[in-house]
Amino acid sequence: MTDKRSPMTLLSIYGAEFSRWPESRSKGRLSLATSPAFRAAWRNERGLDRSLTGIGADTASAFPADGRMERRLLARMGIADAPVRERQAFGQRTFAGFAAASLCLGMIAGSLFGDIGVNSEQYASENATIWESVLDDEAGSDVG
Amino acid sequence: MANDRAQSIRRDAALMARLSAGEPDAAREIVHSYMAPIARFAAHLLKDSTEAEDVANEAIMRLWRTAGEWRPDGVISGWLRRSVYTQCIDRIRKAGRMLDDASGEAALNVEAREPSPEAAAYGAEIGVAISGALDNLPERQKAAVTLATIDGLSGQEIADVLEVSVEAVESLLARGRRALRDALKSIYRDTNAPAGKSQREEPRRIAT
Repeated sequence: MTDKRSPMTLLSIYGAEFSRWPESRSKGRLSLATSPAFRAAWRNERGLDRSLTGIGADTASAFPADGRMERRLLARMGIADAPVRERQAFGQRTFAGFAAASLCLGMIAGSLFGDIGVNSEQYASENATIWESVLDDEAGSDVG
Repeated sequence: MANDRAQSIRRDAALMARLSAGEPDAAREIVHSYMAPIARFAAHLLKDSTEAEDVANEAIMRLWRTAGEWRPDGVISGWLRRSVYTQCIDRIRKAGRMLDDASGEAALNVEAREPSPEAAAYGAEIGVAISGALDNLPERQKAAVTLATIDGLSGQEIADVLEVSVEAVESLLARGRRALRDALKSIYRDTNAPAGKSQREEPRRIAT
């Protein structure tokens, strides 16, 4: 469907926010860039949109997002709501469970595949070689 | 966009089937998702947060009681908003505070609710005046403007709520916005008018 209406008409219906227009959004943007008359009308509509958005925020403040209103209704329905603390605790339990599971998996994987990497004897001999060379250098400098 | 709607319809049909089967989690999901938005919509129409909560409660209770009769051709948010709108109109009519669409624009009395000319010079007061002008719109225009601009609903979604065509919604939006623009113009005119004009009543704010 292609909207044949002018951008000015759509502006007067849907306001300055082009994302709310059903069609012809690109035409609206083009008019904004090229038509001074459209630009003036668009500014007026944007002012109206902002005032209306402000009213929306004012109304929203009458309903704090503390879940009380929802709990009252659920109680009327005979359904217990999970308290916020319990919901948070659920999140914490989930994280703790995930961490514990990861640790266990790591230990199991370590016990199964630990020998694939450097074994303990090899590690000890390599470190011994390093320390020996360090000590030899220090000894040499002392002699010198 | 049509795909999004089809997906929403399928998702809501599944949720309603769970609600109908008596799953408490489905009820919790609906209450937590929709209670606040529909209460805000009711508050815009009724200008009273306690009454708005009652209306929103009733809408969700009705949905819950009739879950088994859900037809999978719509979305829950639309159904709830339509229920809220119908209840609000009933309450407004009973209280005798209705402006019908035919006489609404003629009866629109923005003058009586404007802030003082001095106060109108400030941006915040312009918001107050617009709120007053919005209150004075005929109910269907007010609902359409609120749903479009404050709730961000599309023309089709508003048409579903008000049970009218998209063309009718566009007409309501155009007339509503024009009335609000005129209210804004009159505020600016008064701001430049000579001092000593009578102080006017401020619009009613949301009662908390």
